[in-house]
Amino acid sequence: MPGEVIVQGTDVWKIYESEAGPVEALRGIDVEIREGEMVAIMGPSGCGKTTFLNCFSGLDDVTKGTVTVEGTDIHAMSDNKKSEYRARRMGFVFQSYNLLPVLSAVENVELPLLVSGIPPKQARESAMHWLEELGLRGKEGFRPLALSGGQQQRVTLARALVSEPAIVWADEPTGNLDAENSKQVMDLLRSLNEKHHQTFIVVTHDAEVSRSCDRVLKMRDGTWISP
Amino acid sequence: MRPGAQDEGWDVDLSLTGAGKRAGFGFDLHGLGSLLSSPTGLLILLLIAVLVGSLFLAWRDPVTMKIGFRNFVRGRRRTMVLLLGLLVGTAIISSSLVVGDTVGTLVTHFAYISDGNVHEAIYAQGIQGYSPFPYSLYSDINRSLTGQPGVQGVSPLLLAAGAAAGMDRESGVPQTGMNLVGTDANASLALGPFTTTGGKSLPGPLAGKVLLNPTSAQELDAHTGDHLTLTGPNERSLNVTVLGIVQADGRGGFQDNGQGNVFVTIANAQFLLGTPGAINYVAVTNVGGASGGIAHTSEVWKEINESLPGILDSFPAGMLPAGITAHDVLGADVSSAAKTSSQLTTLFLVIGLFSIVSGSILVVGIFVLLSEERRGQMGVARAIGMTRRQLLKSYYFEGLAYSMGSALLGTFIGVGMAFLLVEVLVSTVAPGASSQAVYDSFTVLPSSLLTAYITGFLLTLATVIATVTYVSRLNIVRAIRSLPEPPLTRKSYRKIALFGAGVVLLGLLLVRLGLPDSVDISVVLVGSSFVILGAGLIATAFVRSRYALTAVGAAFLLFWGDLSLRNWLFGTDHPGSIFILFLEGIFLILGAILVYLFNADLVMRALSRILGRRPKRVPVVMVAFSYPAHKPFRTAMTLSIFAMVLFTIVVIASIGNGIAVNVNSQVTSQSGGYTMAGTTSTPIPDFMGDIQNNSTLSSEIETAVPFASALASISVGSPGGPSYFQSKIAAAPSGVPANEDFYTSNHYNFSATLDGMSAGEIWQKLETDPGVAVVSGDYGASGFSFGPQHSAITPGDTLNISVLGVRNATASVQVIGVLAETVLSVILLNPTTMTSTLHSTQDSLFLITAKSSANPQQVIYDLKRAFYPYGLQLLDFQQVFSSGLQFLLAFLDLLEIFVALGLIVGIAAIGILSLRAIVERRSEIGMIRAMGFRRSQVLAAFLMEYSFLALLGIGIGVLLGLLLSYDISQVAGGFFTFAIPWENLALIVGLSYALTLVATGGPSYRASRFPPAEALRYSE
Repeated sequence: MPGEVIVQGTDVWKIYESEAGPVEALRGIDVEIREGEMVAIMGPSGCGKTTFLNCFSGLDDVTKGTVTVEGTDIHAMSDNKKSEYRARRMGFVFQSYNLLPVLSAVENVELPLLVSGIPPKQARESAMHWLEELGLRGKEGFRPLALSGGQQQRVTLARALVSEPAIVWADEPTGNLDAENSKQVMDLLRSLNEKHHQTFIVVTHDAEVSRSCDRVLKMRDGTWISP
Repeated sequence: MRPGAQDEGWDVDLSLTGAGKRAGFGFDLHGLGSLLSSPTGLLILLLIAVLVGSLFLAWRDPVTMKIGFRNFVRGRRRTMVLLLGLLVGTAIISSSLVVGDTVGTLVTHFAYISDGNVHEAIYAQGIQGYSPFPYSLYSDINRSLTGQPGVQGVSPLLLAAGAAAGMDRESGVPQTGMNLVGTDANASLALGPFTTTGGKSLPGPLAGKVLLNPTSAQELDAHTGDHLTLTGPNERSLNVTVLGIVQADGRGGFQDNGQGNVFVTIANAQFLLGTPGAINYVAVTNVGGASGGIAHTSEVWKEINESLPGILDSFPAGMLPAGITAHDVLGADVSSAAKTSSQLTTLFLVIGLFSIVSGSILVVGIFVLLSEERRGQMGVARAIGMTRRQLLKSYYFEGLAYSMGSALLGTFIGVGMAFLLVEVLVSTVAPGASSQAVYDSFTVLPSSLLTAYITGFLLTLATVIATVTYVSRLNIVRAIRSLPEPPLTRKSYRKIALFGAGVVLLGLLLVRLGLPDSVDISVVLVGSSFVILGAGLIATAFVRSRYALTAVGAAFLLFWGDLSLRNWLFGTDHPGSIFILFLEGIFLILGAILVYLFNADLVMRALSRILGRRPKRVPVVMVAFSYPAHKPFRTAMTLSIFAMVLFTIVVIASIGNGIAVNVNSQVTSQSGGYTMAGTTSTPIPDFMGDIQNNSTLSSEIETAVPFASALASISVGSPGGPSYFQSKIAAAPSGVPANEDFYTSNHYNFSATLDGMSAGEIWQKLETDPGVAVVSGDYGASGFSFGPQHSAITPGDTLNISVLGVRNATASVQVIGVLAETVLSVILLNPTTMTSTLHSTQDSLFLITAKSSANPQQVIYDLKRAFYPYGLQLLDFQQVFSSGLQFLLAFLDLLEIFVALGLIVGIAAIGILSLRAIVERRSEIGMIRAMGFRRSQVLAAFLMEYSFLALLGIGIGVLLGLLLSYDISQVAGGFFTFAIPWENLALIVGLSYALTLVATGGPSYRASRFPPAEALRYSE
């Protein structure tokens, strides 16, 4: 059952300067997302979905408005505080996996824990646990490019979840996968959401993906088209 | 050298600027034919062939040309950065050639001063200078040559180097060892007038009125109008007046070896030298001035040789000295200047080879990076139907544009580097009066520019072609998806083993060719290295590559690092050249890199453990070391570049330090513990008595050993044998007070002794046994100095001695020791042999020890003042070695600076790699920032990565450089002692590392400031 509001945005604007003039990527977004919810942000390409993710996760600044995560205005934090906060309380899954190609699967997964100052031995144990949970036992020593797309995305998931974050941000997590792998990944996200009661915010343009979520927010031209 | 003979060095091309004239850019079309047949001409033809071939390719396939050139101009900043990275090799070649040109011009300049307008000369060279002959010989030659085509005039001269002593009666300053030049104004019009320092022309000296050049004037503190007492050998004195001080140009600087010239009339010179009616030099001047006259040398030379034999035959037997003949003076000296320039160019090129190779590695690195960045593009291009050949062609055209641009830039930057080196040369090696001559000599020959441009262009293009040929062998799917190359199959290993077998066979062939002692040592050493490498490649088919190639690396380190092993395998009789240093450096570095490359993961793991002890540091260390560990090829390239440059700098710095450290032991070994050595043109009957009777000298001088000495003809082995030469012989008196006893108090060392005798035993035997002798080091096998031209003398040899000018003064003695000293160039005999058998009792060689309280320069002044009528010349050992050392060290500093310019390659390499790396890894930077890396952690990770690369490269270079320096010290014959130049090392390492931080700090900082969202979105 969804709990307290964990992410709240009020009149959030993001305007980029471009050669053709200012581009309004987010236009006065208001939103509330509750603890344990699995929310899909949907919309066509260029509607501002990824900008939403970046601005609400603290990866990017906002032009106007406030974004509160777990009761704290994330944009009022210093860059270091934001980094620290992300390391402890957030996980990220991207379409192109963004694994470090020179690190093995287990090294990629344990990296967020190490960033948080967890002792290496403990970090390794947790990473192994999550790889096992995501069906990657025996693949821990492989480097990303030696794994299939589905396996790489599962490593990304393990990396996102290993620090047991409060919020997992997923940007087109199935964008590079075929239908079967997409379904597997979404089932996995759903079961993890149910099991660990974490908040999942999934940016997607795939209606199939959105069907796995509790709530769907539709976006067009930087604003909601249905509340 | 035969007149008209040209130096055949490939880097010296006099034809471009006319005969013998080196300066300027004037392009002589008449020289076009000879240019095209010269090495530069061949390079031009090659360049034309490449350009025509490229045009043909472009005409056949304009699309690939368009892609290639479009890629070249894609980003102005990026193109500039790559051009800067690619130009280094060309810049080094260009600067080496321009330094050679400049030194050539400088030496030629001094040749023109020293030879004046003397193009050819007729004289007989004796052991004490030119041998005298009747004045009438000049008259005959003059009659024969005057009016002949190409001949401006013929002049008589009486020259005696270092034979004049003098005292300025106004200043009271004495000087000895000045050059006496007897010349008559009316008979030497062809040589041109003297020019006074005030700019006035003077035809020549007059009877009793002399001219001084600036050196002699300064040493005598003489001015125009001063009264001098001039003294020649055998105390012949003449009171004269200074008519003028003349410039040290072609006339006033004639044959001045730095001692100063005194110009007197021939009659006055004949009196001073005791040779009435004689001269010893006939100078022939060609038409066309000093440099223009060289063009007539062949013609005049022919005329001289047609007439001279008849003229010489017309003199009664015995009237003319033996060996009188014609000499090509100016032409030979100009050719010699060209040779010096060529040798220096070679030295700079060999030293610069490391930088050139580093530059080539950088070219490989840049194009590998470009190809890696474009793997996706390349794969798509292949997928839509582009053939591998077309892909290669597009890279070829891009590489062509880069090569042309970088070679052009590199050529001119090289000229700038050469100018910087000349600046350093002026401020260190040639400060003072000659600095203007150095500046004026700065020369850039068009042939050098062309050679540098074309060589640099072809080198870059060849490297680009080789690199892209390799990287374009891609699998289309893997390229599109940026998948890594699969591991090698069994079949691939079999192919490698087969290739290895070929390398072994080539190596064995080289070893076979190089085994004879007459073949350069590098052939057998390179052959052996090929055998080692080939064996390693074969072994990869049977054991893991890590083991096989680590073993190859270790074997290279052992084989090239252990001189005694190589000597044991191939002996020490092979000849070698400076090129061996380059090979040694390359193979040692290759060995170290192979060991690292195949064990990088172990190194990284160990480092991660050491540096990652604090949990907070673990992720930074992990990110920092993961790239060097998993991109070994790139890492190896960066390491090689750093290692090569640092290796060369450390070798040069160590040699300099070793020489400096060794100077004190050198002074002891060369001086035998004495302060100075003195020689006189007139024997001094009672040197010791004179000193004791002179209150000033007796308070300054501790001991002095007078040696009975004479000039003798020597043959080694049977009397009149083939190793005939002339030498000074000497013997110290026996039975003198203990503190003056040469046999017990000298500190001379021996480089070789008979039957392992000790120094004490040798001196005792020399004092008591009339049948033995000791020779100076330059007569011995281990002599490195400039000794007389003769076969090396070793202990046990028999010397047959015949004193010149003394009838029945002959003796045969056995050599029992070869001294380490090389200054005296003397054969020391038993005192009884010297006085009783060889009838030589007159003292003209002296070893002097000054009191520690005395100032050596003052002692020299006082001794010269007391003994100038005897022409006493003195040599202060400490001063001689210190000034020689200073010059050598300054030259080594110059080389060090030249090599340090190669450091730019290393810094450029790491700078370019870091610039490209942050582009390549931008989305990963975004990811690690997203997962919580702070900006400072990203910065720390990048700086740690580049610090690791730089410090490991520096470490390899420093350690291997010290290893090679140690090896060199083992074969340097005591020339330098191995001593680690700690201060220099700290400076070199500190500077290299600091520059690395400067080069990588910017890109690393930029990486840390990427907004994560933007970085995640980025794909090139």
